[in-house]
Amino acid sequence: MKIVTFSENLEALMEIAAKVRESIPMESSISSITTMKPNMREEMGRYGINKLYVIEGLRNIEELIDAIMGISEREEAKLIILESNKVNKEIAIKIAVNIGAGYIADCIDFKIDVDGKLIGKRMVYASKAVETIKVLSEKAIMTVPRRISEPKPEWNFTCEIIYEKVKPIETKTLVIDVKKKELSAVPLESAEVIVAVGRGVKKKEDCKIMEELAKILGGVISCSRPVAADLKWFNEWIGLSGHKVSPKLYIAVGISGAIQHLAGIQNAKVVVAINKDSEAPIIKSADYGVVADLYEFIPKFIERLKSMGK
Amino acid sequence: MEIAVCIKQSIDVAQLKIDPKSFEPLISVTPMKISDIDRNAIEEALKIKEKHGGKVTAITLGGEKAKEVLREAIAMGVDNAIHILNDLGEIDEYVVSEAIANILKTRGPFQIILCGEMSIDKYTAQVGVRIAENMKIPCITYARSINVEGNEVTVERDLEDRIEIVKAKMPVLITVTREINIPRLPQLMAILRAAKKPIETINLSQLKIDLNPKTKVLEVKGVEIKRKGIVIKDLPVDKAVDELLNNLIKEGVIKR
Repeated sequence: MKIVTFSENLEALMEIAAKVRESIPMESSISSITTMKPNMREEMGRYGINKLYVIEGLRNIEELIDAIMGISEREEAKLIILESNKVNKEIAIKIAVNIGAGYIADCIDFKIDVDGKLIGKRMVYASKAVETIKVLSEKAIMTVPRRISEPKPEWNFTCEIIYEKVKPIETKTLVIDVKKKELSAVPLESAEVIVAVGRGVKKKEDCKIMEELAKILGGVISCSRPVAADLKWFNEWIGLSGHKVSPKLYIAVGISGAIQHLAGIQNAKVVVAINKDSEAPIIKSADYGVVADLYEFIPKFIERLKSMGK
Repeated sequence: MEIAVCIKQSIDVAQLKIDPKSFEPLISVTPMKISDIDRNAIEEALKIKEKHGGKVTAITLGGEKAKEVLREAIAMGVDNAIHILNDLGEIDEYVVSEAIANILKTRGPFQIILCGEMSIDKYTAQVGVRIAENMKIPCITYARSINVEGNEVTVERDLEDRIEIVKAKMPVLITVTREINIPRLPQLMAILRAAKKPIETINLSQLKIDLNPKTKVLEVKGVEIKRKGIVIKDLPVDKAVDELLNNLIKEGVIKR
């Protein structure tokens, strides 16, 4: 099967290649597309990638879509896979419309059916269920999340690097300014310990002791959606519409546990909740639900951890 | 200014139960509601209308019950409502987008088309972008503010690591986030009036579009939540801390 993959990030392309090689046992060729100049070109073949297209001179999303579609056509790709993020999902859907392909968003597992068509699984209903979808069209496209597989250097392809100049296209949506967000120093997706604050924390200054707790445990601080979206104490949050995290230890402080928040922490190993309301949904949805006033509990917790030499 | 807003009736995901034996999600007994983010889309449409004049048309596709979300939209203040009645059964996002785009083209022209960034049930974020691409108009996703001036919109677009300020000429399709506004609550009188307002219904099967889905759902299975659910309560703070700490040490997530 001929497959084209796209991500700005080479690591993501290697993860996707590893997943393709384990999920599609038939002989496949993987042509990957990126926008970054690779500094590890020789490596890419070892990670299961046959060709790497590097797109140059890119100015807008229309040019990127045109380039991915052009390469996919030349490579006669039947399956196009993009790393899942907000912009790439839009790109994937636009390509799907233009080539008449069925699309699976945020696909976490996939295989090829006996008739050669794609079958994929994705989380639905705030991660309460898994849906299995079959693409009926000849061509298929999907987006897959980061870390869908570990990169595996077990192949001996010679990866050909091809520099591809984009065809200039005038954009219909002109980006006139970009403001970078101030984000967590450690990406939340790779944090081992997360202390997350919710509306139960009364003042922004009170986040300081939660940050101290996070530091002692070797982790980072984050929050639930209302704390970021409504109170604007943080620029990012944990939940279905924010980050989906998988730390070893997740401590929810003053978070009630709306279903969208719970969907974001489903892959955490151990979930601790501290809430003074014993009826808060998070108490029942945690491994350890502590019914206590966080303003009494957290300082004592920090004190004990310090006395243990943390 | 003619504004269209595309809305969807979804199951109330928070109330969805999973059968403990078969892991079947009990969808047919779950209450329905408007997909939350679509209320933000309606609110934004009404705000634009209040500032620039014009009319707001709400469109939905769904079974007979889907009319309820149009009544809610009318109670909030939209002028017209169109119900594409799904008389075909199982379809996918492709057919939904083809149908809505068809109505937008035949009932338009609309200068601004608004959608929620994604629906609360499936989260595929697909229909808005598909409609725009079908109609070959500019598409701006994840808007957290919209400013209309002349024949242009300026939109603050909320991405993972950055905010983009994007300009586009109308007609334009914009998908909005929950952060863009706080939807108004309809007044009781408006709800009563909305119940009497006629809603135009068109059968999906009668539209001259491709009605063959590109994808098919084979199975939906509930996910087992494997949390321990141990509750530590009614203890003095010192004891509660000890209890939690001992457990976390046992779990191996805190080293002694």
